[in-house]
Amino acid sequence: MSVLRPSDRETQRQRIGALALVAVGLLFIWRSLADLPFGTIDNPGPGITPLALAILLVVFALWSMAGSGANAVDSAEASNVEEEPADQGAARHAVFIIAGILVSAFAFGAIGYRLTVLGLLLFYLGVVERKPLTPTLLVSFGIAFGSYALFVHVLRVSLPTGPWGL
Amino acid sequence: MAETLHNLLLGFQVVLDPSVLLYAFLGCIIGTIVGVLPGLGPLAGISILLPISFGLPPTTAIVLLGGIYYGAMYGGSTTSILMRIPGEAASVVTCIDGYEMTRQGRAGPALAIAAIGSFVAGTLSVVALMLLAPPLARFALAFGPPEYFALLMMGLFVLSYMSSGPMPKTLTMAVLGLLLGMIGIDPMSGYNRFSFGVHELSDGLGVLPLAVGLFGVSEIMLAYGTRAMRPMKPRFSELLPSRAEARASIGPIGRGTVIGFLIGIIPGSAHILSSFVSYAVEKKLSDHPERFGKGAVEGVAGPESANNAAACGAFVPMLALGVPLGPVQAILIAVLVVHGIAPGPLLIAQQPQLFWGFIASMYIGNLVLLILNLPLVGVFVSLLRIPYTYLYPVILICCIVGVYAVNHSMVEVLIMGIAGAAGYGLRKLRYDVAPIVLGFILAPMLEMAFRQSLAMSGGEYTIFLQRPITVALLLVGAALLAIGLIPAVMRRTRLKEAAE
Repeated sequence: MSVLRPSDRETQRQRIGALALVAVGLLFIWRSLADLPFGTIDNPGPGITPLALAILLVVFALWSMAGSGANAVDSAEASNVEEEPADQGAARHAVFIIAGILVSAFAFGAIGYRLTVLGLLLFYLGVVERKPLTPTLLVSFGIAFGSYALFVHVLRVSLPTGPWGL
Repeated sequence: MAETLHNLLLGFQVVLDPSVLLYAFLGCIIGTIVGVLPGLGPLAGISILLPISFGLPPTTAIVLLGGIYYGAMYGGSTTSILMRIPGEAASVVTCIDGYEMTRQGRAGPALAIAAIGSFVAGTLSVVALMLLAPPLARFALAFGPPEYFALLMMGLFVLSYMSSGPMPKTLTMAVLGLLLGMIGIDPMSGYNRFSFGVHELSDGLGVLPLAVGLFGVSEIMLAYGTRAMRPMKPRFSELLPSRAEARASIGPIGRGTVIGFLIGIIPGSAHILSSFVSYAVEKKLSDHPERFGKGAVEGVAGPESANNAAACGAFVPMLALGVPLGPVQAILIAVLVVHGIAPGPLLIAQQPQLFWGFIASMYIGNLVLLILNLPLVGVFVSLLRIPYTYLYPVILICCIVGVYAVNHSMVEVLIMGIAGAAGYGLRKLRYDVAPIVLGFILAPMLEMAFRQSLAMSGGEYTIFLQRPITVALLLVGAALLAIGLIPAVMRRTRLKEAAE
């Protein structure tokens, strides 16, 4: 089995990133062609600017991809192979953050601000960061109820309440 | 001149209202904290706290966010000098000589010179902004859609030229931002574009979830592994610089102010560039350039003055033309729009309270920062002792609540999450995400100016080549784009030669 050098791995990552941007450009080109009228050359319709921009996005993303080899050597020199476990930890941390945001998007309306924030903080401090129980509880309850008081009573921000008025 | 002073008086009347003054103070303090905390730059700080400003009157909101911006500029120098950790990107240069001064037991004078330089540069730049913006706005009243189109195009070209990253990547991000700005109902035809059946997308993506996601959330993700620190705290009595240090700082502060203000007007992250240029100039002008890098006070005074002056200069195009040429200004423009205020050359005439109140708040803010920063330096650096594992969930909650609270929209929180994940991925791949927000804000203006120009000319594209201002702006933009391409072409040629 072949093992990729750091610069090769970086080049590969840069290319995948650029291809993802190409895919975004192609999606916009497809929807522009499918849904939007283009008008005439002297009176452009709503589809012409997005189509032109989407084509430019594809072109620039491909240009970035073409230059990714040289850039990758530079960036790979700045990093080293030992960063792999740290990268895995960072990726796990990133997934937890996004998961928290997605859950809270649905939970706010259903169970209210205080319970959602309390749940999130207990999860991050107690489960993800494995902090001792007492500081976890103190910080979680303090922030959940304290920030509600700050936002609602001081800053006059309207926040949702859940069951039992919480 | 009498009219300017009269208007400034009006501004002070506005800003000395206790509620506005309170938010000016608050903005400066929050900004300093944002600047002190490594990784959390002014852009992320403003993005996270943006929603709080929506419940405030427009003048108070702008005063608060402006305070955060220049407060972060001040605060960024503290960790650079004491710990060699730049609180924000513009303070990178200050690390070099500032930290050396700390190692030599001169941390106090370094902090004092940085604060005094920032105060002088900030104050003088506000004077320049006050004198320059109104005539520029009057001149811009002659601008029609073709001139605006050319100005915005030039802004995007200059941005890609000035960006620290490779040009193709910057252009890709700017175009991506422009494209995302196309989502929602087209104001000219009423067509719903790219909403994919999601009702909330008809109003567009929203600058708030996009900015908070790209800057705030991605920052939290990238800061994984940040450890709490044990910074040193200089005593108040140790802050006074020696007479020789004070004398050596006068020239660099003056030059840094001029350099910073002029560079600040240029699009992009100019405040970062200004500190590097100032450092290079001071080293070049010094009789003892060998002292630079070994604790030269000029290496602190010049760059710190320059980055504060640049922060102020960047407001000129925003306030005079309504054109944001930097990401922070783009977000501030969005705040104005949310409050139903149309940015543009008429802003100064139609909203004198807002414009002059903002100017006056900058005078007050600079003074507040000078008074607060030095005695409270120990308090601010103590924040670095809080473990990141406790800090990030709280910042994340602020992001989520902030975005949700504006429209009580679940979809906007989801957009923030997606933008956060995208921002994390892009920044890992060394793309600068600031052009996305800039492009996103400029997109509707650019498209409107383009289509209105064609409507004016009856479909003649030559309209962009018939007006002197338009031609000049487009030529400057094209020339900078061409100059920016040279390194990429040369690198390619070198790679080809090496391969052969």
